[in-house]
Order: sequence, then C-alpha cells, then structure tokens
Amino acid sequence: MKILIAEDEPLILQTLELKLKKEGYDVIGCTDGLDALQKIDAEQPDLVITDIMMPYMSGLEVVRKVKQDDVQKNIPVIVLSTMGQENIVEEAFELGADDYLKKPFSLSELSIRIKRLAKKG
Amino acid sequence: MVFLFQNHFKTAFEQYITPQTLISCVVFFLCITFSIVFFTYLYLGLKKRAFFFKERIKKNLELWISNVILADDDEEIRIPEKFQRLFKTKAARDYAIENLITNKKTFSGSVANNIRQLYEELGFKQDSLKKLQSNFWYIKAKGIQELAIMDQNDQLLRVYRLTNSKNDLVRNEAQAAIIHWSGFNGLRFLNIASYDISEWQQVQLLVQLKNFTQQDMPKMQQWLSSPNDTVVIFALKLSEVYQQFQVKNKVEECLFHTNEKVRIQAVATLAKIGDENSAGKMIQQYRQERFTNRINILQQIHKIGSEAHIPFLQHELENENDFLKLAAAKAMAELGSIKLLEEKAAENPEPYQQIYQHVKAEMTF
Repeated sequence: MKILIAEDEPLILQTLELKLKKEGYDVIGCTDGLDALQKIDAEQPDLVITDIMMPYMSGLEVVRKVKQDDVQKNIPVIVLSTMGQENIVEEAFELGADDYLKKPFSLSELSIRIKRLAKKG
Repeated sequence: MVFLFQNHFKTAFEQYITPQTLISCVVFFLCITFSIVFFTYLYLGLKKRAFFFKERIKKNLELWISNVILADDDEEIRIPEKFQRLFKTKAARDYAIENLITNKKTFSGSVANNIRQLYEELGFKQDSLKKLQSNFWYIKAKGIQELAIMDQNDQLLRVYRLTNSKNDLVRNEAQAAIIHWSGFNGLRFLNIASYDISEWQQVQLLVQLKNFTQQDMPKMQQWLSSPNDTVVIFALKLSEVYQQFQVKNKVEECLFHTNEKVRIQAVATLAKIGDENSAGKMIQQYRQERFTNRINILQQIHKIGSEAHIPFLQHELENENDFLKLAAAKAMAELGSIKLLEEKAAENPEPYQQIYQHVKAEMTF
C-alpha cells in the first residue's frame, strides 16, 4: 500500500515516514501542498495524510483538488490538525476528507485509522 | 590656461599635503580596505562553517532521534559515543532540544514518553533549567516552554513563582505551563496575579482548559473580587464558559464595577448564568451606562428576562438613538411581545413600522 504524507515540518515527516515504513507501507513524503498534489498525480497513492497548514498550498486545498478530481476522488484523505483548528477540520470534512487527527496524536492511533480506511477502500 | 590652472593646483596641493602625508594616507586607506575585505571573508567563513556544522548535526541526529523515539517501550535507549561527544557542543544540544520539542508537540502516547525519556537522559532538562535562571526574559520564557512541553511537572513550584513575573512573555509562558501541568488546579495563579492578563492570553488559557475535564473552582468568589480587573474579567469568562451558577450574586455585583470592561463582561456572563433578578439588576444599571454597554444589555436581556421587563423595553423604544430603539424592539420580540410592537407600529408608523418589519423578518429567518 502506497501512502503519501504532506507535512511541512521535516522532522515530523521523517518520524512519520520511518514509522509507516516500519509497518510495511510504501511512503512518499512531501513538504508542501503543491508538491503533494504533483506527487499524487504522478504516484497515485492509496491514501493521503496531509497537514492543514503548509506553504504554497494548504492541506484544505489539497483535499479540495483531490476530491474534485474524477480519478483521485476515491483516495482516502486523513487530515492532521492542531488545537484551535476545529472550524478548519469541519471545512475539510465538507470538502470530502475521510478522517482527521488532532496533534498531538499517537502513532498507533494513526495506524488504526490507516488500516480502517484501507479496509473501506 | 590649462597649464596655469595645473600649476596653481600643484602649488596649492604641495602646500597642504606633503608626499609623506600622501603616502601615509594611501597606506592607511589600503589597510582599511584590506581589513574590511579580510573581516568580511572571515565572517562569511565562520557563518559557512557554522552552517555546515549544523547540517552535519542535522544529518547525524535527525535520523537517530526519529529511530529512538519510535523504539518499543521496553527498549533501552543507548546513546552512541559519537553523539555523546557531539552533545558537548551547545549548537548540537540546542538543535536536539528543538528537534525533540517539535516531535513532542506532534506526538502523544509511547512516542511522547520516549521523547521525554530521551530529553531527560541526554541531560537537556539541565539546559532548560539553566535557561530558567537566565536574566534575559526571552531565554527564561524558552526554558519554561521547554519544561512544560516535556512534562517536567516537578518544576511546578519554580515556574509558579514566574506566573506573576513583571515581564509579560515570561508571565504568559509560566501561566500556560501551570495550566498544561495542572489543568483547572493551575488557575490558582489567579490568586496572586497582580499584572494584567491580556485578552489574547485569556483566550489562550481558555483554549488550553478545553483539554481538561472540568473541575470545581472554589476560589472563583475571590477572583471575582480581585483588585486586578483583568483577573475579574477572566473569572467572569470562566464563570460563563463553565456555568458557575454558585457565583451568580457576585457576578451581579460586577454589573456595578468601576471598570466598564468588567461591566460589559458581567452582562455577557449573566446572560448565561443569571435569572430574572439579574435582568432587573441590569436594568437598574442601564441608565448609568454609555452606549456600548446599553446596547450590550439590550442584546442580552431577552436570554434571562421575562414579561416583567417589557415596560422597560417599551420605554427604550422611545430612545432617541435608533440602534437602541431597534435593540429594544428585538428584545421585546424575543420575549414574546411582538404584538405590542405591532400595535406601536400601527400607532406611530414612522419609524416603528420599519422597525417592526425588520424585527419580524429577522424572527421569521
């Protein structure tokens, strides 16, 4: 299973990449929304995990573009939010996001959500 | 002509500047130029060295830290010798702390425990404590933040003392740390707060408290009587958000406070926890208020008022100010007296017909 992670903080991205690779996933990392969108086009991942606040293009915009695209709209998207972004999470769900996690979150919880969405898909 | 000028210039030149002086000047300016070039290169060289050093630290440390924090709970943390050497340099320690802090803010569960353990084992807690003792406010604030994020609850007392620091940033960080560690119990810093708590800080603290299960706030009465007006305002907000009905009488007293901001917040709080009696007290104070709080009262009164307050609202329909007229009309409608408004509009179409139509449309919407 191929997972794309969009997170602008390289340290977090690395930890997430390592964890998911350990669990046997193919991981594609990117540090901004624009890069994420290009890689989604090129790599067609099975699941996308995106932070909300990112340079060049926000996570919300990534969700919007993915869910508006006929080919990509079935790719499950998990949104990573921080405290105080409740309204943005609601907007993400309206745009079609499949799940969300509020920072700080536990990596085992992330794994469970990935598995749940993978089963759905 | 040109020759004459040159000759004159030469004579004047030689009169004021001897060849020796000229040579000294040239040497002096050459020295200055070379010094500037030398120091520029030296500065750029040092910066470049620092950059590559940081990059080297990054390359070495990031992966190791990520691996360590992802280790299983029962796995022992071993610090390789090369890192032990590396951690003797301040730059490496600062970088590693920053790295751990970023991760700690993002992850919870076993990863967060591993991060905290690594922070302690690498002796970074001592670094944070040193920062706490610094005379520079920004270093002190950073130290508090590090200790809070790394859950170093044993430092609670030391940080508590800083919740009333004269520096606002140190104070804000310390207050946030205390709430982070103790939740609602951390609000005890309000007992000693003598400096202002900014509106922004109040919002931050309320957001932080959302992460905790609500607990009793036995000191609420004391906070509502604080000589620090910002403490009173914050206590009023807490009473509103966490519905502290037991302090209703004290909140009603705040309607007559000398500070207008306190009075405005008291009205908002009473709209949540007050009753008919509170509405009566709002009306009692209404005449003493300026426009801002008058409209505030009119906008809130319907939430706790009753038919008994309709005469007051009817009276306010005659107010010269159109905004107050409209607010009174809306309150009447909310209290179920739109019929009276309709009658008033029929008696005096100008301007009540327009007000009535506006309120009616709003109610339907």
